[in-house]
Amino acid sequence: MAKGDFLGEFEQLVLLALLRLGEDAYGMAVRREIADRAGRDVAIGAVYATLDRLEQKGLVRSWTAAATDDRAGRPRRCFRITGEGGRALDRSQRALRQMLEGLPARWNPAR
Amino acid sequence: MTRPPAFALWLLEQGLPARDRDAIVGDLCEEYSAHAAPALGSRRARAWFWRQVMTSVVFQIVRAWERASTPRASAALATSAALALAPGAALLWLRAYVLFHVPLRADATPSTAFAAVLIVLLVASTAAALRLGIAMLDASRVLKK
Repeated sequence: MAKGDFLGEFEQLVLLALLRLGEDAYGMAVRREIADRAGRDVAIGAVYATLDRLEQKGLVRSWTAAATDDRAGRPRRCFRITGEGGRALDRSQRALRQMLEGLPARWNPAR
Repeated sequence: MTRPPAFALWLLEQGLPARDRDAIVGDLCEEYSAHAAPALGSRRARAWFWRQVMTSVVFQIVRAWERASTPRASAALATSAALALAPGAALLWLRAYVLFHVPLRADATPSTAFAAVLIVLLVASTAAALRLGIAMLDASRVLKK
């Protein structure tokens, strides 16, 4: 399996946030979800850079939603995870679980 | 709607690629007025906004750089550096030239007004260079698609 088949940690966090948010997924919502759940306060630019990389790999797709007044008239860019994105996330999560298997409980919260 | 710092917003627009510009600016404006300003207060919200602007621009430049081919990235860097530095350098050269040929004052210490003009010129040329560099890097994305 090629190195590019696995996702980086932040890429996994972004994909998991997209799964959690469902239809309401856009950059700032992803940033807030990661900050609330993972405790990582990241820049919105970092979220968009990662989403752009994931879209280039075909793991997410994006579309432009309507502009609103509270956004200074700027449209929202929404994201959704693709089937390939789901499989890539599953592969990376499975690899992590297999690496944790057999380790003491301190390292393996599933035990 | 609570408005974010205008200069930070302007700077943000210069440093973002066209494709993500509206989405990022809109997200930050929305977050600033709906969450940051009410929760943090005006001063801390402004600091939060500035932090978001600076880090976002850096991440977006790195991403645009990642996507661009090496010759295009080199050309963008060289053009941006020249555009950012040339006006300031030209002004300093002009001042030195005038002082050399027209020695009106023995004291060559730059005045506050001159320093202010130089700073404004550097900020404007750096912003223009940032916008041009990002556009050049971003053009490779259009070509690749």
